[in-house]
Amino acid sequence: MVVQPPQPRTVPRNAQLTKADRRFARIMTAAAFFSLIVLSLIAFFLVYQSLPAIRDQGLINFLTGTEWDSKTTSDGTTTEDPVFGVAAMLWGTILIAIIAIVIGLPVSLGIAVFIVFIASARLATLLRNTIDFLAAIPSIVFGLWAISALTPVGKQWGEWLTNSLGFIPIFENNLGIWVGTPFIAGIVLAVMVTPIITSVSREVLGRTPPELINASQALGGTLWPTLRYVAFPFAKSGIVAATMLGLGRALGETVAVFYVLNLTYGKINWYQIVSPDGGSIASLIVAKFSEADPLEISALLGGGMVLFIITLIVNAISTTIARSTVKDM
Amino acid sequence: MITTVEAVPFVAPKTQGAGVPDQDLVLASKNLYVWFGPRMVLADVSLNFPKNSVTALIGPSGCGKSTYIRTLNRMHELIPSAALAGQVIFEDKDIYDPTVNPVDVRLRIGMVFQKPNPFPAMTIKENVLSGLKLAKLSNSNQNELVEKSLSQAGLWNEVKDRLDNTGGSLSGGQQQRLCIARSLAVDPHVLLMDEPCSALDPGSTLRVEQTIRELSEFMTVVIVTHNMQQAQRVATYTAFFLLEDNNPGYAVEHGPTQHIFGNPIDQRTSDYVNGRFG
Repeated sequence: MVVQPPQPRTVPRNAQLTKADRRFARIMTAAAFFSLIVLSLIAFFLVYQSLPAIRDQGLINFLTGTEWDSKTTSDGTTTEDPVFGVAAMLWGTILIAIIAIVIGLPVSLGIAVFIVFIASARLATLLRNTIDFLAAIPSIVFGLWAISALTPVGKQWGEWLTNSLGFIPIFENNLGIWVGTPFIAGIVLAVMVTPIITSVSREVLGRTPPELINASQALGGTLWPTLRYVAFPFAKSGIVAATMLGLGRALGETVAVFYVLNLTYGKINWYQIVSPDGGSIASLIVAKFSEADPLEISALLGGGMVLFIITLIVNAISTTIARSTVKDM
Repeated sequence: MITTVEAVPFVAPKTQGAGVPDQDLVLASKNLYVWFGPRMVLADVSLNFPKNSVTALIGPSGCGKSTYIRTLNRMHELIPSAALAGQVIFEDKDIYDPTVNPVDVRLRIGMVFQKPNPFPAMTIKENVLSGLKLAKLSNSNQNELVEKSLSQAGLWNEVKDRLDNTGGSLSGGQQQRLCIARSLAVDPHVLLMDEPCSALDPGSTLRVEQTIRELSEFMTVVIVTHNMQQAQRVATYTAFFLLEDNNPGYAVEHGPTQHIFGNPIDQRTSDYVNGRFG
């Protein structure tokens, strides 16, 4: 017998909602869109405001140039055309962020492993709270600590690195000055990204299923093999996401870096991390903004836009990875 | 970590039943007491496990069967606040002797858990070989070892064409046999199984039981089970555990499986195996 199948129908999603539910849902929708609108407005503002400078300099020159000079003398007269290139500052930003991750990631993982797998419950709680507290310290305080306490020590460490490991190109220093180096700025940032990386890594390592840890122990696995073959593979993408979050903070940090880093224009310091030739877009903006003429302000906003785009990319990567981790679990 | 527990004198319970002959033993616990913190959870458990036999541990939930089985390969001590007294003799040596390395014990006395737990990030082949990596052992012929272990676990024919797939791609029953193969790869003499079929469907359960019978031709198996039929299908010997009131759990009766189920000595054993409680 041939029968006609019944007509399928769907129930609209908000049919079950009460009036109050619907009003609440509208407010929540507005809040969700608000964040999108704010983000778009910031992006639009940055592009719009930086257009004069980018038109003046040309996009390629702006992105690849290393000089930053408004050519304005103290009495306010301009004799030559200003040059604004963001490349040295951009690479400097990335370089100190890399240093921060290279130092901060192993430390963070060590703390996370200790909290999850080694420490007693009481010590683990204490450490967790301490690390979270570290994340709450304002960056100006880190900056003051960095200039008054870290710089004198970091200078000696840098000097030691040049003297004993100077044959490795990254530890070269031809100036004999070890203050204001990317190395010191990187250490400050390492301290600042450690809480973020630690708490996310702790969270994902702590989610290693106990039955997998049991399985490893029953096969004769002690702490290190269990970490290496069971816990780290399980937590891998979470740790990568944590690192990206840390990187995001390191790229955008302003005040702490501004206090300890010497900004050098005219060349890109590709790798000499204990040489006092640094760059940081955020610090550049702080250093130049107060005395800038309209064109330079536009150029500084262009720098801000570059930084904005890079942090957006890093965050996008980290959320993508974090999302795929959630899917795996 | 050994916590000091205040010794309170008490009348030790006595295990009844025909028991198991004292000869040709691979594993035996002697007067074993177990604590979690200050609470004694097992008292005076002395059981014998003869070579190439299957022993089923039965009893209601919470009576200490799983705790007991974990003391047999030193997994118990990994739980914070866990403590114990007494001896576990494995091949004529006390595994709790201070000179014994717990890692060696766990390699010779393998364990399969309630929930199949293959390592998700590893392929089937890597799962079988994971014990070598974890315990830093070497094996010159890994392919042969993989085939041998999977064959012994009764899984080889089903997975030989997809050894590079992840363990998670297998069904629950296959995953459990993969876990058995993983334990076998480090060449244990005893296999401890903690309710290995409780998460499996009836078909997979029968398949694992067949594997257990095949394994008992060359190794000793101790299996915790809540399934009375399963105990009768696979076990040569059975021990009945019970926890009453606030006393610690203990082995009420121990003997050949047909005695425990056919004509038990203790009334409580009879009640339990006939489904009157538990």
